[in-house]
Amino acid sequence: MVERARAGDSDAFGALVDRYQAVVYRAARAALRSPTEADDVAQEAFVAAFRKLSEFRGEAGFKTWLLAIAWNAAKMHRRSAWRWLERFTPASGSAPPDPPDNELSQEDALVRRDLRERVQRAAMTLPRKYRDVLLLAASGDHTVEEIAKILGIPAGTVKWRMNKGREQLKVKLTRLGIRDE
Amino acid sequence: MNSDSDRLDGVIDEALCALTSGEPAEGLRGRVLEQVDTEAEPAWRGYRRVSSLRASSLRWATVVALAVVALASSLVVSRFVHPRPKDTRQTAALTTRPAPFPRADVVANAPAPGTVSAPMVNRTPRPLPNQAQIPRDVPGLSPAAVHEETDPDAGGGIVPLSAPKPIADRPIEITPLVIQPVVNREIQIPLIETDRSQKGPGQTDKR
Repeated sequence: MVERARAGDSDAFGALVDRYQAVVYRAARAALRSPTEADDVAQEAFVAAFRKLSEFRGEAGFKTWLLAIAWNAAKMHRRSAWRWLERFTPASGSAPPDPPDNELSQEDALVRRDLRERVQRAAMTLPRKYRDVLLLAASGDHTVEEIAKILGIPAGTVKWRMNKGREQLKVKLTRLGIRDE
Repeated sequence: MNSDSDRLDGVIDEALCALTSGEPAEGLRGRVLEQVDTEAEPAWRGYRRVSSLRASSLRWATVVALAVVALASSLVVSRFVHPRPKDTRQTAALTTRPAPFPRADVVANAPAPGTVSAPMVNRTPRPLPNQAQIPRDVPGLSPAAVHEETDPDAGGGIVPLSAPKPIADRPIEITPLVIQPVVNREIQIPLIETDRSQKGPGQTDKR
């Protein structure tokens, strides 16, 4: 399908968009806070991928190559001055509603939601290099090697950042009163 | 303890997954393909690139051309439409032909070589006001001394009343020089009070 898309088959490229749009969108969400911005970045990433299809050598998987393009687009989007200003404003739509869970009572559901929001706020205060690795790993079933290729860093660095970021997040949660109980 | 740690890890994973969850908006494929189809036409894309280059160069050329036209029009207006008033004296001095030298009338009235013209002979210096006639053969006399010390009994001759005495006959008086230090001298500046009641025209009393 990639070969057909490279030959100019727009239907084949459309099929690739259908297949990878969720993964690309979540990777963009890992770098950005707004769902709208992530949607725009996903579209930019697919268009950029179509332009660069001739440069795709097949050394990495198409998904990894596509996610690297999406991550770079998200980083460029994040570097803009407007995005820098929006860092100081609360994110909109960052907490989707919980799915209905019949096993939990309404009180337990509220406690769970509150806990999740506190963890999310603590995660957003992590240094960016740790936060990016953790969020990118949580955005899909990516291996460490895939994350390393997407970010352009060694796999050992990815592992170290994941462990260090998780440790710092636990320390923050402990300070907030959330312990391993 | 291990299960507690796993529980916290589970909470963290759940929160992180919630941060990156979601689906793109509807119609992402259609939007991507529309944009791709628009840019996939080589002729159109090439035209757009060239046109963008041409547009930028045309923009600069337009700016330069407008600047040149504005400068030229301002020069034309200042030179022909609104010329500055000329200085008539300067113009006349530049346009009139200089007179021949030596002038003909001066040459005609000039005296013969070796003679002095009459106006030069009769010319005497006019005395200054309050200045008497000073005999030129009496040195060291000021005009005021001559005016005051004229002796009519002696034939009206001019005799200096107080002839300069030799320096040796004069007693030399040496007065000590006393320098008084100026210390703690207060300078009093009189205060000048202005009468504010007198107001000039147009002034109002702000009090």
